[in-house]
Amino acid sequence: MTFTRRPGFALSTGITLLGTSLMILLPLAALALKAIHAKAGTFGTVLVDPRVRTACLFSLGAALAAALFNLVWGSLIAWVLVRYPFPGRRLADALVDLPFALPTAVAGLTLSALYGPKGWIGHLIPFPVVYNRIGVVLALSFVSLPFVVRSLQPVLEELPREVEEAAACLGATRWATLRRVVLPQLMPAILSGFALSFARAVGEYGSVVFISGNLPFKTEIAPLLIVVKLEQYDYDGAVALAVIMLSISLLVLASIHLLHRRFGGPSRV
Amino acid sequence: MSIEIRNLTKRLGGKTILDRVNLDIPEGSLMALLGPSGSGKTTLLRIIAGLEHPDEGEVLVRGEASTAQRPQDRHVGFVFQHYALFPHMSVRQNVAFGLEVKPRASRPSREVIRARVDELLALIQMDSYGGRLPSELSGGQRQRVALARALAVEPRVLLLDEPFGALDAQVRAELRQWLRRLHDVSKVTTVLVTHDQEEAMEVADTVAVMNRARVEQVGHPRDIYDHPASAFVAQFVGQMNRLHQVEEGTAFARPHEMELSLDASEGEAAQVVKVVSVGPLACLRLRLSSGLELDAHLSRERLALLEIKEGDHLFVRPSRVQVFADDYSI
Repeated sequence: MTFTRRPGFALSTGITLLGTSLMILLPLAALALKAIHAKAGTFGTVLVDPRVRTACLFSLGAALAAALFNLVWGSLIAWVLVRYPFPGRRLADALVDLPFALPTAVAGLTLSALYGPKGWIGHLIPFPVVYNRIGVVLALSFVSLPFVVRSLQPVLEELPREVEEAAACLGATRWATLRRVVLPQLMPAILSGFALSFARAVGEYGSVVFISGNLPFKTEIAPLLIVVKLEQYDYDGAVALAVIMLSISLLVLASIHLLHRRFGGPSRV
Repeated sequence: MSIEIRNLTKRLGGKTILDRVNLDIPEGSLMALLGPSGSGKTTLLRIIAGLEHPDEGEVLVRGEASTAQRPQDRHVGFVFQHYALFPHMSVRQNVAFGLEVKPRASRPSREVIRARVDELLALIQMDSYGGRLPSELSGGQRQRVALARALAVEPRVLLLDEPFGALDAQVRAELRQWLRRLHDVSKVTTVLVTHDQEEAMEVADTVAVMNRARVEQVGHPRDIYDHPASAFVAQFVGQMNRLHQVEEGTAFARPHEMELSLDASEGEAAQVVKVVSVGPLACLRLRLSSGLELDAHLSRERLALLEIKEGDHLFVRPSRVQVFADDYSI
């Protein structure tokens, strides 16, 4: 492929690279550098620590659970917002962004008050929701919900109704149309919403600390453990944990990206 | 009678889209619904397909009331102006779709579906395009695939909504002839919605001219052209000169029915404003002394014989005048 230089290339690329470097690459490089200079054996110690392992696995598991929950719930919200005109739709649409606007600590506090054993909703549920793993997933779902809705909405709006009408005229039931015609076209957007949701949930800290109870081996998440390590002046341990979480998250995002490519391009026979 | 439309009325937000429409579409015929945009023709088509519901009246397909049926149960093939192909499926998958979503009991075997798809791809002359995606096809090819997809389920009725409206003039003319040949072979009752009178005239056995939520005239294309039932039809189908007011309404004459002469005893004096002689016909724009402008069409031989140039003075007289009552608007 030949490379032709388009007008404005140098300037725009320069600004982009500078911004990316200062805001993303530099902090990541510092993390890597710090990890290289960490005491020998830190990684080994951190990796075999059962508390760390439990926290990492729980963080990933809870983030995946929250992202999966949002996949279904968020898709449904997007569908309703796009397809059904109802009074108050614009308000409902604006409310979707609320989890982004709310300080996450407030979200955590509110959720634990609402879903606590004496809370408005909590006292209706026969099993405890707060201060256990369900609470963590609940908080993570709340803070990452907008991603699925917002990635799906524009695609849904652009989806021509005629394509579904064509399927109906060809004898396809509503379910068959949804499964064979609508969903495949939404798949790329759903997956990217899922990936964003997951990424947001893995890094979430503020809301979780208020709803989880922070019990080691039970509801402790990896970001919290990093803070704990920092408070104990175990900087090397914190860095090691950060690098491990970062690598796992990158791995998960990369596999979602692969799925995206698999579904993203229209399939061929 | 394949499709009978009885007293169909549809309102939307205080506006009447269809106003007590009655229409019979004979089995095996190709009928064009011709009208300007907003005349209700597409809504009528969508009601026949079950994609929209009438407020009053009913649609009978082969004598059976279909108004309450879902689109899935009506066995209609619908072709949309913008193709509405499934973008993530190949041409083959698109064509096979209607067969593959049939309930298990009536679904043909894989081999039968494959054979049927091959047959349809041959019919639309796209044998070698089976693996392509809709985005890799031209507009004309996409519309042919959409037609094959609709025909795959052997519909009782084929409904075409401005099927060639988004295509180039040349492709449109080709597909038009191809559609007519296809209909001659398949004999599926077909309803074609179009705003292009040339298309309706060329393709259809019967034309229903629609205007302002009503059917104004139904008939053979030639009869509609020669004997329009209203001023609207007269002006919408083919060109028409508006001559002058008479007691019963307004007098009209077709441009090819204007007789030109250099002899003062033969009609009204007029000046030639413009001459366009491209193709077999010469088109003249004339201005009468009253200021009224008229079109006249004549053969180029006749033009040469009369030695007419722009700016010349001559005399014009309509050989046939049609008078319509003044209750119309376009």
